[in-house]
This record gives sequence, C-alpha cells and structure tokens, in this order.
Amino acid sequence: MSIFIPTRSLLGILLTCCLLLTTTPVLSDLIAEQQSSGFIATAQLLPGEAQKKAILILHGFLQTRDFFTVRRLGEALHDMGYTVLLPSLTLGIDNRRQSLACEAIHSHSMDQDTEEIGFWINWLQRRTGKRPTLIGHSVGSLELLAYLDEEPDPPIEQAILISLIAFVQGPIAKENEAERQRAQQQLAHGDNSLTHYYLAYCDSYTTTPENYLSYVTWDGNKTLEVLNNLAVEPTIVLGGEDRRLGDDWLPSLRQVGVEVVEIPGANHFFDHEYEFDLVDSIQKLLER
Amino acid sequence: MKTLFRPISITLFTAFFVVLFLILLFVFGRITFQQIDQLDSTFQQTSRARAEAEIERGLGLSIEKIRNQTRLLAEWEEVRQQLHNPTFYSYWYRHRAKTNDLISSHVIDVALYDAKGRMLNLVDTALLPQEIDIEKDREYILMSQFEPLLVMIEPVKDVERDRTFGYVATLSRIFPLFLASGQFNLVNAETLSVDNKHDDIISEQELKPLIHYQLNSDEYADKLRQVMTKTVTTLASLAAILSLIIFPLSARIMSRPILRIAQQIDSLKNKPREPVHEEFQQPLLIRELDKIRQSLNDYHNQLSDVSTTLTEKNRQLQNLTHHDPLTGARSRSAFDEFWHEINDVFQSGRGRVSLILFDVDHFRAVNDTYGHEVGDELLITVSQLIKSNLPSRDQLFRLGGDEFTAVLIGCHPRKAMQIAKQVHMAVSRYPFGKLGIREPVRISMGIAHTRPSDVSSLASLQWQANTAIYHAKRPGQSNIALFSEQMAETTQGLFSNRTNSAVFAAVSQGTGLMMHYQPIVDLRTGQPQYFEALARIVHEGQLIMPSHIFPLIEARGLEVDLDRAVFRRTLHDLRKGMIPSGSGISINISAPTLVESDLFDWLEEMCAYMHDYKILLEITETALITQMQTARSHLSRLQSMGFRIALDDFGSGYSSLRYLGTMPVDVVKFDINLTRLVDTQSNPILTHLAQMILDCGHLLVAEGIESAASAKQLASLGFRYGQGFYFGKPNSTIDMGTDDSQQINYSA
Repeated sequence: MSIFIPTRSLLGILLTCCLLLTTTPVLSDLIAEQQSSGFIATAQLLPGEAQKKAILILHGFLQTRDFFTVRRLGEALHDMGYTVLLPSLTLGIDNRRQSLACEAIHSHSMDQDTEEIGFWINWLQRRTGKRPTLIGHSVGSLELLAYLDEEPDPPIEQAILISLIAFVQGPIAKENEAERQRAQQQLAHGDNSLTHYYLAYCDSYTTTPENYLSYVTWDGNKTLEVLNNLAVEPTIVLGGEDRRLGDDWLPSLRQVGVEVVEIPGANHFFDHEYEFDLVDSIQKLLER
Repeated sequence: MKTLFRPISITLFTAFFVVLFLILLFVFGRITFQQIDQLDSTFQQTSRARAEAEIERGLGLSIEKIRNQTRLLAEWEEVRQQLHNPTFYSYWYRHRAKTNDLISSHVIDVALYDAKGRMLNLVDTALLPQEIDIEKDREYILMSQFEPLLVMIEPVKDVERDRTFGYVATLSRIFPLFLASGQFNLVNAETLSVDNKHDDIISEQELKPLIHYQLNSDEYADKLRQVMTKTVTTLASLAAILSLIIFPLSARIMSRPILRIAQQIDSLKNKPREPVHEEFQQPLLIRELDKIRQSLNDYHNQLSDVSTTLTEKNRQLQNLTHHDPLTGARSRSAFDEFWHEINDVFQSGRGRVSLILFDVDHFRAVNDTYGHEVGDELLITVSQLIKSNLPSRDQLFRLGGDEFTAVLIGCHPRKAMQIAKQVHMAVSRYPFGKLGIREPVRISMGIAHTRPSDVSSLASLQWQANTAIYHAKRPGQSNIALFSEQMAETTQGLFSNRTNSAVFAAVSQGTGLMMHYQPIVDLRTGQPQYFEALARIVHEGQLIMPSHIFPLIEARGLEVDLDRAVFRRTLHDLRKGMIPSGSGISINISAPTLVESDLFDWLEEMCAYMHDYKILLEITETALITQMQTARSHLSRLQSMGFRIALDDFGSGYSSLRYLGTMPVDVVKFDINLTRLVDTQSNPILTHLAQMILDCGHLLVAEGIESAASAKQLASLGFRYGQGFYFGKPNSTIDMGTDDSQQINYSA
C-alpha cells in the first residue's frame, strides 16, 4: 500500500511548519517608561546580536507595535540578529496597548509623538551603545520624518520609511484644506474644544483644533520639503500596489531625490507573501 | 347441622360477580387514572425543577455576559484614558461610553468612578449611583418600574503596577438578554415575566423567585397521557360491555340449565315417587350439566326401584314387627305405635278409651314345670280365648311373656268389665288338661278407662291398668280389678318417694331396718322353738308395713340386697343376745338370693352361733321354680354347713309336691290357706298330705294358727310346730321371761 499525499496538502503542512517556526516566542523585555507628559509609554525590546544594528520600528496611525506589519518585520529582523525595539506611542493613554479608535478622544499631537520617538531613540542608543536605525510604517514613517525634521543631528544610523504617507494626500485622506482651515479658525477664535474632524481614514476624529492641526500640517508638500532638507537621507520603501498613496506620490518622492525602493505588487501593509519581500528589502538596506 | 349461611341462587351469584367485576374495574380504572395523574404530577415536578434550572442557567449566562462586557469595558483603554484625564469625560460619556463595540445594546448606561468610588463627573445617570462603595458594591439588580436592571461594577486596574485607576459601572437590561440566552426548552419564553411590584435592590438569588413563567407543554407526556387514558377507557369500556354481554349469556348458557337442574332436584325431593317430568327429559346445552341431568334421572329411577322394594320390605317387616309370631296378636311395638296414635287422637280428652291388661297367673311355674312348648301352647290358647271375646281381633297386643293388653275405644267401662268377665269365664272353662296342664289356669285382669273430666287420664291409663292387675293378683282378691282412686292412693303409697327412700336406705345401709320376731311354737309343749325373723322398716318414726315393702322390692329387683341386709341385722341381734339362747331362728331367703354365689360368705358368720341356736332358712316354694339345679345344690351345701331348710308357703303354689320331692328340705311350712282347711272341716286331703310328708321324714309347720282348737287339731295331724297370732304376733323384742306362760293351753 502506498501513501499518497496530495501536493496541495504537503504545501499546507510545510506552510504551517513555517508559521510555527516564525511564531516561536522570542526572548523579549517589555520596557515601560514614564514620559514627560506623565503617561507611561511602553516598548518591547528584542535583544539581538551585539555586532548588529539596533533598530527602532514605529507603528502606523493609531496602531500599536502589535500591528502585524511592524510586528512581523521586527521579529524577522530580530531573528536575523538585530536588536529591535518596538515602542507603542501613548497617544495620550497611559500604558496604551490597544489601537485607538477614530471616535475616541484624541488628546495626543504630533509633537507628543515625536517627543516619545526621541525618548525611545535615546533610550535605545543608551541601551545598545549604537546609533539606532529607524524604521517606520505609514504615518509612523511620517512621524519619524517629523522627528528627523526636529532634530538637526539625530543620533541615528539609518532611516527606512515604509509606506511613507502624508496627511491631506492620497485617495483615502478624508481631511482637506477646508477642515484644516476650520481648525485654524477655531484656534484663532480661541476655541480649542473637542471637535469632530476628518483625518486620514477617520470620519470622526475627535480632538482639539490644535492637536488636529499638528497632524494635518504634515501634508504632502511639507513632507516632500522636509525630505529634501533632511540631514540624514532616508530610504523609502513603497508597495507597488499601495492604493492609499496618490498616483503622484512616488514620482514626487523621486523628484525630491530621495531613495525609493518599490516592491512590486505589495500593498500599503505588505501582507501575505510581500511580507517576505519587505523583509528582504529591509535586510538589504540594513546590510549596506 | 345448622348452616352458617343461606344458599344463594346462581343468578344472584352471577349478578354479584358481574357487579363485583364492574366495581373492581371502576376501582382499577380509578387507581390507573390516579397513577397517571401522579405520573403527570411527577413529570410536572421534574419539568418544574428543570425549568428552574433553565431559569437559573439563563440568568447566570446573562449576568455572566454582562459581567464579561463590563470587564472588557474596564480593560478598555479609553476608560483608563478618562480616569487618567477626565477633562473630556462628559463628551466621552455622551459619545463613546455607550457607543462602542465592547458593549451590547442591553447596556443602557455606563459610568466611571475614580479610585475612591466617586463618579468622574456628574452626568445624567438616573439609575447608576453617583458614588459607589468600593468595598462592597460589585453587582446587584435594581428593580425598576418596568424591568429588572443589572448594575455591574468592575475595577479598572493597572495590572503591572497593581493599582486601581477607578471603577466602571454598567446598567444593563438583563431581561432581554435573559430571553435571548436561548436556554429555554421547558420554559415557555413567551410567558416569562417578572414581578415588578418591588422597587428595590436585590441579588441574583432574590430575582429568581420573582420570575414567573409557564412550562412548555410536554408533547411526549401529553401524548402518553392521552394514549394511556384512551387505552384504559377503551379497556374498561370493553370489559364493561363484555361483562354485560357475558351476564345474559352466562344466564342463558349456564344459569338456566343449573336452575333447571335445581328445579328438577326440588321436584324429585317434593315428589320423589313421581316419574321424571317430561321437561327434565330434554337435553341441556352444556354437556357436563346434561350429564348431571341424566345422572339425576338415572339415580331417580334407581331410587324409585329401591324405594318400591324397600316399601314392600318395610311392609313385610312392619307386619312382622307388629304381630307376635307365636300368638298372632299384635306386638309390643305395634302397641306403642297404636298408643301413640291414640294419644294424638284423644289428647283432647274427648272419647272413651278402656285398657284391659291380661296376665296369666303363675305362667312361669307352668312354663318351668311343663316346658316351653306347653307354655307356648298355653299362651296361644289364652290369646285366642281373649281375642274371641273382644269386639275386634286386632285389639289384642302381646306386651311380652304372658302379658296381653286390649285397647277398647269408645267402650264403656261396664262393657270392658263384661269383656273381662267373659274372658275369665272362657279361660276358667277351657280344658287346659289337653295341653298337659293339670293345675287350673287362671288369668288376672286389670282394667282402666279414661274419665271424660280428666284430660291426663289417657297418659296414666297403662299405669292404672298395671295397678289394677297388681291388686287383682294379690291373694284373696278377685282376678279382675277395675282401677279406682283408692287403689291409686294405695299404690302411690307403695311407690311413693318416701317409701322408696326408706327401702333403699334399709337395703343398702341397713338404716331403719329392724327385725320383728314371731314365735314358732312346738305344738307338743307349747314352747317357742323358733323365732321367724320378719323384716320391717321404720322411717321417720313410722313403720312401713311388708305390704308396702315387698312389692317395691320385687319391682326394683332388690331381693338379694334385702336378704343380705336381713342377714346382717339378724346377726346383729344374735350378737346382742336379743334372741333366747337355745332357741332357733328362722330366716326367709328369696329365690334370687338362693342362687347367689356369695350366699355362703354372707351366712358363714352365722355358723359361729349354731352351737347356741338352730338356724332355719325358709325358702318360698313359688320361688324355687327357676334355676332348680343351682337351688338344689346350694340348699344341699347349706344343709352341710348346719343350716336347716324349710319350704315356706307350701300349698300356695303349683309344684309343691314336685319341689318337695326334688329339694333337700327339712321342714315344710303349710301355707295359711291350707292350714285354714282345718278350721272348717276335717279334710282328708290335708290329713293324708300331712301324713305323707311326715312319712317322708319332714317336719311340719302350720302357719296362721289363730285358735287353740286349730292348734290342737293340727298337732293331732302330726304338725310339730305352729305359728300364728294365737301364739304371738311379730314383735321387735322377745320377752325372755314369758316363755313358759306362752305354753299352749289346748283347753282354752
């Protein structure tokens, strides 16, 4: 009697084994540090090999370090020997572990975010003694860019901005100029009360005009402008099929002369098989 | 034997069993329905218990669901955000608290409290408390006006730092959640309701009793009950119908034939001699019953045959038993039946009935002397002579032995007396010599008749006739006696209880018995030589005369006892010296005593006195008839013992000479009737008879001497001794000193 195993089944088994291997728990430390805002911010440190780079990976808009794109990328790099720090921005919530809903009260601002980013960069540098490499995803990339913009000599080794996106840019951006003006007028009138705005993919983003404007200021133009003037030239990794970005975004980026790595077929989140392409690309960029 | 119950007819029995069966059926049905009800009740209880469990489980799940939702809410970071910075709490309460994905629509209110239990901001929460007791409050049920509401309070904690930020409270409609729990199989969810009369805070356990519901109908139990009820009802109906059908059928098939057999038995019982009725010849439907019918008919026919035979045999037997085969007269049993019938007919006392009792005098002597054949011939002859003088030949009955009786109905006493005289004459004239009987045959008759005024006279008629014939047989009386009142008094005296008691006491214990002694004088010297001991009984100071004693003794068969008592008494007198020494004593012995084997023992003590006294034993010659051989033997032995034997009352009987020739007799005492012949005229017979006896060597004693002339003449005839009132009457004492003065004075 012969044992016949279908090819499709065999492939499934192998994939399952791979997944099991990739999801093997890694040795990690959960770091909780109080920020100047008084909130406790947390980050997960995945210690790597001493000779390899220390990498800080920042999650996207209203997400946490557990968002699959950054989580899998961080674990994959950690598996490669890199020391990886995965912080979650507090977004005005003490010890935040959950993604924040659009409808929630958003008491955070871009400034608070960049301050926390700077805190973790310094913390990682102190911890590893190396200049960290920054990797951001989506708005996380924009926030890293904002940090780089604020720091004239940031203590970093390298910056890789995955799926870099700007506000008031792209087909999904619901905020517009009118919204920004409304916020500006509110603020001009001394009204800094909670207001529903359009922001990114949120139809009802509840925040103060001040906080709102801290984000929407970073529109496409400002982003391109900042990219053009950064002391540390970042590398941008985009998915070939990222529909969240506008059609003119990639040409615009290339126009300002920044290095853009395009992964054909990948979307904004580099899910499925493009996860590996992303990791490969990042690895190549890290190994330069 | 008396039965304990009265038999009941089979129809009643059948009806009884049908009724009993119906009652049992009813009881069984009733019990079955009760059991079904009990089963139903058990199902209901079980269902109720399971329903309670469903309620409890549903309530528990609902509360658990709300608890989980509240817990998720407590873990929600926006809650922690508000507790950390409640600046925008009012906004958050309005826009976020109740409109998020963590809580369901059943949660109608949410409130946050700081670590001390105070609400973050006073928002419009009418039902949630403004402040909570952080030590106690966790969850409770608030009974509102419309429905129960669950208040669930969960702490908001920082697990890493082990501190409590504050508390989140939810107010939830538990009932819709409870209804949507889907836990109800037995509980009819549509009927669920809560008793909202109480507006209070209660616990989960307190809520359960307030929940009302109805059970879903258990289709299986309902169907089972319907089937069982229908089955039992059907069975009961079928059984009732069958029993009602079986009753007339059994009456038709079983009861009627049995009743017919019972009727047949009644008919056979009531009319046993009639042939089997044609109706009972018809066959019956049931084979076994028909067999009983046939058997009854067969037995009846056989019994009829046997009855016919028995009737004929009875008739023959009755003829035999009702007629004396010897004389042809009707028997004693026939007389008893006839007398019974007469009593029935004449119990009112109306009509005349005369009874004549016949008795052949000295028949036993004739029988013993001439043999039974001669005796039988004598009885046949006498019965024929009586019959020939009776109006009807069927009126004569032989009562036994030589006793006959005739019952004369409607006969006047004079007629009865005339018949008696005719019989007496016929017997007197009949030449019995041709039968070989040389002595004259006499017949004694007692006549009694009813008195119209005395109803009870019929009952005593036999006794009266007996009394009359007793008088007829007494010496010196006519052979025909008609019962009279005087006769009754005499006889009643004889047989009175007083006399009975005295005689029995005398013969059994010697009480009242005393001896009177009459001298027997030597006719040559006039000196008393013997004293005849004569028994007398003194009772209550009065002397009972021999005429009253001896009939009773004979009637009761007390001769031996009396003689023994006399022996003792005489012995007593001898010991006391009441009898002059050197004289003799004469003691009477009855015939039964003479043949008694103990006689010698009784007399042996007297032998001691024989050297002072001559002891003479007097034997009544009429009493010597029976057991001649024994009597002769005993007399010889007595003679050898020293006693002298005297033949008493010689000449009064029929066999005097024969006895004298065969018996060992020393002395012959002539009967008073024979002695009196001397007083009237010179009788050559007496002279020669005395001479003949003297020639045979016997001494002669004459009784009844009442004059000196008689004494002298008898002495001249050779009589050695004399006895009579002339010499002395019987007396209780003997005057010892007057012996000489009693010397006979022939010249007086």
